[in-house]
Amino acid sequence: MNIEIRPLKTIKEYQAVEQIQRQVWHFEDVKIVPDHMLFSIQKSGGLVLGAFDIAPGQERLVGFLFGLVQLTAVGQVKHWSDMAGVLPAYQNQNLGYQLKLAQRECVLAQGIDHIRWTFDPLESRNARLNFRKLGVTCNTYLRDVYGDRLGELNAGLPSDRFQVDWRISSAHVAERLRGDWVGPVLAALRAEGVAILNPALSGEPPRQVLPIEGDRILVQIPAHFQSIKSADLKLACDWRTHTCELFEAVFDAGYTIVDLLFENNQSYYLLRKENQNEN
Amino acid sequence: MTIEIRPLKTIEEYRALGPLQQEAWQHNAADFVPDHVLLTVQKNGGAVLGAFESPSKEEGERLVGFAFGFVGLTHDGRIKHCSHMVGVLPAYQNQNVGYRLKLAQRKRVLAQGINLITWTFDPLESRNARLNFHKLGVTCNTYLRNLYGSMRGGLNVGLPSDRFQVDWHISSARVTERLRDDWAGHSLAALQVEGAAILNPARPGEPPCQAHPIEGERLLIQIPARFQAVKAADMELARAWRTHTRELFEAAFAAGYTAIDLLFEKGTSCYLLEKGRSPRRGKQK
Repeated sequence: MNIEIRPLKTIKEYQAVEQIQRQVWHFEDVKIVPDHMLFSIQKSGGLVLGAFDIAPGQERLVGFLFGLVQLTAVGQVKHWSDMAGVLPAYQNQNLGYQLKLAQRECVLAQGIDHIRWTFDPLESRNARLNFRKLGVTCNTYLRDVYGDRLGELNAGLPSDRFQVDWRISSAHVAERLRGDWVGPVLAALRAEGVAILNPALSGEPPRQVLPIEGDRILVQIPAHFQSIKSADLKLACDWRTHTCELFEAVFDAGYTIVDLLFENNQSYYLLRKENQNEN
Repeated sequence: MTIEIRPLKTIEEYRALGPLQQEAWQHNAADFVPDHVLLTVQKNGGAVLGAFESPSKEEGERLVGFAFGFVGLTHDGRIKHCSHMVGVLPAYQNQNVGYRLKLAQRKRVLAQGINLITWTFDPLESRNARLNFHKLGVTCNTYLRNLYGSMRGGLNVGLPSDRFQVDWHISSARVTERLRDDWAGHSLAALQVEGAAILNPARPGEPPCQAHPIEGERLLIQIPARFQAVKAADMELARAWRTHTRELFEAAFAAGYTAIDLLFEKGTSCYLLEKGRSPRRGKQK
């Protein structure tokens, strides 16, 4: 398979992005970001990147991401990454990672060093890509950002999100993007006394959590939240409530998420106490 | 009738924008800018403004128009506001709602410390041109050929989607002057007395042609006063206007002219262009 990542160029390509949205998220028409909007974004400092499967004589769009320039309330310029999607047949093949790397290059070339986006903190696979492979950090928890009514994939569950910070010219990110970076392992962290605040009991969130203290802490999340959602929505909601309270408490206490560990089919966020927030 | 302009607040208000887009542009659902993107834009420095009518206290508000834009960068990296859509329900057009939406947009963007708003529109749409150039004070020296290629949008069928990209320098003296109630504006008759020629004087129903060279300090370029009617009656003639004005505008902009006004007198619509008064902002794609 030969994949090329590049900015979209023609209206046909923008229309292919509409098709991918239908296939990835099963969006109804009114949810789809239309060609004219994507086109304007690309022309105006934003970015619409495609992943193309290149075969002799033809190329096919199989993934995309788009984002736009963000101006914060205090006048800082960042890049807001709004959507990224890869066709089901092309998932688990590193395309999401490659799209993010290309996004980083394009945004750096504009002189912008900070990309933000949101994702569901209980989606372990995405968390691993974002924290472990890309090197985002997070200390912002947003409750029910779509008012529980916009996201089709989240029917019945509050659409809580992490807002993550990808400081694309930082040493932290440069380190993660190097091929030879080895992340922390659970056994070593445990040996150093790092506690799991909320070890799960038979797949359920615990009633009690440990006190929030120490330089580093671990917070467990379900390793396969999608299957919990489809099998037991009540349990999924329990996890949402439990982790919502816990993440809000640890962020309030000055911790920042710096990694996601996935070992023995269990998922844990690693948090570090920051002396100061560097927003 | 009372119409209030303000940012959208609730999910229900965002949802009401779908039907509004359908009525204002005859868009399909697939062409709507979806509520989740509008919400994202509003949160990230963009603006989604609504025009709400309150017929009476009992009936509550009704969304009858909106303006939507997001933060962007110019080609040389300056922050600007990209106005993507402004739409008003057909029954509320010709009531100044579009103008008031643009004023509210300006106020909001100024408050963010941004001085430039850009958008595109069809240069042959005389009414829009009059609002943009005459009332709001935009300028233009950027002609974009067939910008969207073939899009599905109902109003754009059958003709190359050429566009002006206009610059609204919202803190400039020009704009402040235009927004004052007492600004008189140029008169076509007076300009002609002063020697500004209409490059392409046209008779109704006849294909346009260029009668004068591009020269002098000021130029007038005529466009159809009712292009929608031309399109409906004679697509060949509409295409001829597109090709003809495309060549004229591209040549005039390349020669250093900037469009600064749209005059509409006695059923005739003419752009006024001036040489070199506002500096070119670098060549755009």
